[in-house]
Amino acid sequence: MSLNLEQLSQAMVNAAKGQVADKWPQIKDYAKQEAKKLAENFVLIEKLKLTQQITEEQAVIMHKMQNNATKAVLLSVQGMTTLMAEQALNAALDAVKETVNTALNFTLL
Amino acid sequence: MYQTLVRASSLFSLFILISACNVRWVSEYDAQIDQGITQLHREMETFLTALEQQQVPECLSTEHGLFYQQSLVDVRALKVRAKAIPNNDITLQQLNLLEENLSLMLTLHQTQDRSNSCMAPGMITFNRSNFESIFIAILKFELAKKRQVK
Repeated sequence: MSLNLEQLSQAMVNAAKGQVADKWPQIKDYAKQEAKKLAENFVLIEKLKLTQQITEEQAVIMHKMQNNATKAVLLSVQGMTTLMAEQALNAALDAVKETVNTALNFTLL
Repeated sequence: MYQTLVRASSLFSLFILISACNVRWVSEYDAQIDQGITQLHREMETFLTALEQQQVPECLSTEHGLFYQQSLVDVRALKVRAKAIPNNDITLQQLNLLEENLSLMLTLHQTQDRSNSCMAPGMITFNRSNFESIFIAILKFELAKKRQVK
């Protein structure tokens, strides 16, 4: 049995697309929702400072804390994107596994 | 001869590369990180809810030393666990940020003590939202590591 390049690549692209289409909207929604929450907290710090409910020193501490929370969220988005890419690649390889192994007559993938 | 060698080594490299699949760029799901963070979130919520209802001197940081100490111990224990798992750098960085924010919250609380008053409701709201973002970020990523393929 000979391998058909066109069919193989199409199967890989479709499998990878399936993973991205499924996961990317979830990551995007999470990032959007968290960005709003983080922005609200930056506004809250300013409001507390302007109404003198917190001191300058406290505002600085709260800004640091909010920067850290932002970094934690971005790290999560980065991690989930990496996972999505990993799963897309694995799905693409899985999609052609049987065809390739059968054609080569041994277990390559 | 040279071309045959190049071809053979290219084929061999490709074989090694493909054989290395499935690829794993991110660590496996760890139930203990999941449970540890969920527990810390619960403790933080209990602490902040108590602070909302307390008056001086109960609301001062000196009255909550045990909470800060225990929370820091718990995060550090989770960091040790996270470090022992390969490809777990992102979770480790997130735990570092959580640890730093716990220390910063203690400093914030101590600065409030100087005026012998409780934290303003807005400050408690801020802390709740701030830590919630970090806890959710860690949990979201940890749960994603379960790699549920549809």
